[in-house]
Amino acid sequence: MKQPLSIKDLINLLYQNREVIEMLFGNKESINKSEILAREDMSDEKLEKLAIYEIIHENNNIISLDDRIITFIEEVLEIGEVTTSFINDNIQSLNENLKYYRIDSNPRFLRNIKRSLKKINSTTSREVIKLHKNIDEAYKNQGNYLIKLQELDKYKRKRDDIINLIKETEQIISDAHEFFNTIVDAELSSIILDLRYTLVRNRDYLNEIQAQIIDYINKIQYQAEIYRKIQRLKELKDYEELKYKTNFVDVVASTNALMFRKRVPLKTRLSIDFLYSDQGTALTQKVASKLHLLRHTDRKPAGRMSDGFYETYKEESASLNIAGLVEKFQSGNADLFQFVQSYNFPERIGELSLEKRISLYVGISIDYDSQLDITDEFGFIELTNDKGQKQKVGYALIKPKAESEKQKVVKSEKLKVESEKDEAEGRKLKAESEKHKAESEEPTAQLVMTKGDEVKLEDLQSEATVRKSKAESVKLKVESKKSKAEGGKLKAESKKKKTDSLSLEVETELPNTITLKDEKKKVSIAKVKTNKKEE
Amino acid sequence: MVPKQTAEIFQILSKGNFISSNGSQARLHDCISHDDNFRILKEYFAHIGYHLESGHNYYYFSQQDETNTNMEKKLEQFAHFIDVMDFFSCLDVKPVTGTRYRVTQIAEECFANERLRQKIFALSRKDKLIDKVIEVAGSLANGGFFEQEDEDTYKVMDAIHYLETIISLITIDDDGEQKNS
Repeated sequence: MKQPLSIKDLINLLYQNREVIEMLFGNKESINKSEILAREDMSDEKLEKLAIYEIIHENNNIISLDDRIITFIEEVLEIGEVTTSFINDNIQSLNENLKYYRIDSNPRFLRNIKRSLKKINSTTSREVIKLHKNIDEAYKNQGNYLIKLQELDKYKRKRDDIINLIKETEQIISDAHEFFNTIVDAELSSIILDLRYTLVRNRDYLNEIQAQIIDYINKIQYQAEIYRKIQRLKELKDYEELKYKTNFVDVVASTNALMFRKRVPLKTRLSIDFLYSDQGTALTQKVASKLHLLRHTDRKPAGRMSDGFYETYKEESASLNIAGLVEKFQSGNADLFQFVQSYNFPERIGELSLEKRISLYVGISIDYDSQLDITDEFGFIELTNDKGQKQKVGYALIKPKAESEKQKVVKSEKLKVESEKDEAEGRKLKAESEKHKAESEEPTAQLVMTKGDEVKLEDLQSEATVRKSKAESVKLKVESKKSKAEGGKLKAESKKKKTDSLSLEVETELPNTITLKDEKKKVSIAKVKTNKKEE
Repeated sequence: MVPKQTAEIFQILSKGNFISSNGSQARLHDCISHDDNFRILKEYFAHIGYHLESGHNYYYFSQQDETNTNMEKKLEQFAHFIDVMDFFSCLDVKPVTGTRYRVTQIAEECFANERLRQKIFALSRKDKLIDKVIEVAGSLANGGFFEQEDEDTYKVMDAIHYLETIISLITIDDDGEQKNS
């Protein structure tokens, strides 16, 4: 029935049953046969086949993996208990193969040597790491402290073994140094170099582990001491002697660990910035709805206001109608001071004091001077000042102007002249800006010239000159306008004096299209006219 | 740069708890002991008046200033720890790092051992023996010396070394009395 297995067959067999093998490896020695058979991927037939090829063993209905398989998996995956035997085996095979190779330089032996060296390299590192892990594990998690002590002791011995094996390996390598040198093989020398480095490193590491194990063991033994001490302290405490026979108080006083503190919970305040944020608003809304604070958020509009509401709060204020006062004064014939002094103001304003009337007189004489005829004659009144002294105070006699309408015309003309002046100035500015433009264009034209584009240059230059001449003509225009404006001004002055309305025509707006010559003529005419008038 | 777990570490340590290497916060322990982190965090917390201290595989905070009322409280607390530790050290299984105690198991032991029974009765006023054990183990768990793994199991943390260190610091005057060894 049992046929010899090929590698392919074995791997296939393992692969087909990979789930079961994984499970068996995970739970060594505790799987029931029925449990295996209950699996969907397993049948009696398959199980039997595995048993025939000795991949699994059956004992009292308990199924377990074959040791060779377990070892294989452990070795390849680098897991499992620390065993120094691996290293030991490799050292032995290394020794043997070295011996053989010395006798017969068969490459087979060399290959074996290389493999052994490589294996020593990898297993040593692995063992050391595992050892370290196990020691830590044993110390931190082993429950019973007697077992813990013994376990640590065991690891200590194991560590000594590894150290010895490392020493042995180093010895072999150094002994065979000469011999290795005779073998010309690049791989071999790199393997040896690598191994040496690993061994040195692991030795350092093991020294550290040694210190750690001793430390742990000491700690455990020390702990045993501590337990005895605790019990003794408890005894003393029960006799109320703790404070007197020991330095308990001092020792506790000198410990500052936070655990003996009364816990002060950290209190923090809500961040106002957070409450302003969207999240904060959502949160406050939530809290508010929980506390029923949102009842009044939908406010109704207020009711109608009562009818008389506005009247009751109306405020009245009276002020002088000065323009009216001046008009009244124009119709009369009194001088302004007397008029203001004797005028009967309406009752609502109340009685005006002398000071107020004087300031009114001064105000009107300043604001309405164009409508008043301020003479150089004086009137006088008698006043009594606050010191009881009598004073004679003079005031200018101000009479209403007879022909107020003509004055209005003059005024409007004045305004017109001014506006024209403004216009002229605007033109001047424009002309200047155009001049600037022309000037600024000249350098660009020169730039272009340097580039050598002559045609363009000519064009631009001509353009520039045109612009220049234009600007000049505009300037002239402006000047003429200016002179015209001056003429207008003069006329206005003359009119003011003689109240003559003869040359009103001149002031009717001059069309902008007027030619230069026409304007000049007009200006000269205006000048002539004014001259005549002056004569 | 302080590690990103700093807030978490502060949360635990500021309550007076310990961070042990074999507890559920082993992750934080690894974080503190990683590279330069211990030094960085020590300096960092020193600014706010907490001193990060390290023991054998555990970390805790200490603070310097001292008041009298605090002192009294500390003495009381520690006296209580002596009682509790006395009780545990009298058990068959000693409270070393990594020891797992099952409440039922301790209760069983107390039931069979008159000396233990008396001790636990002095420590707790609870009615049932099991509740007494839970209370006593719980008080150590609150201090961070034990950690409750499930309803029935407590595991001893590295922080137990802290109590041991303090106990070892206490010297007993040799008054000729017979030692308990």
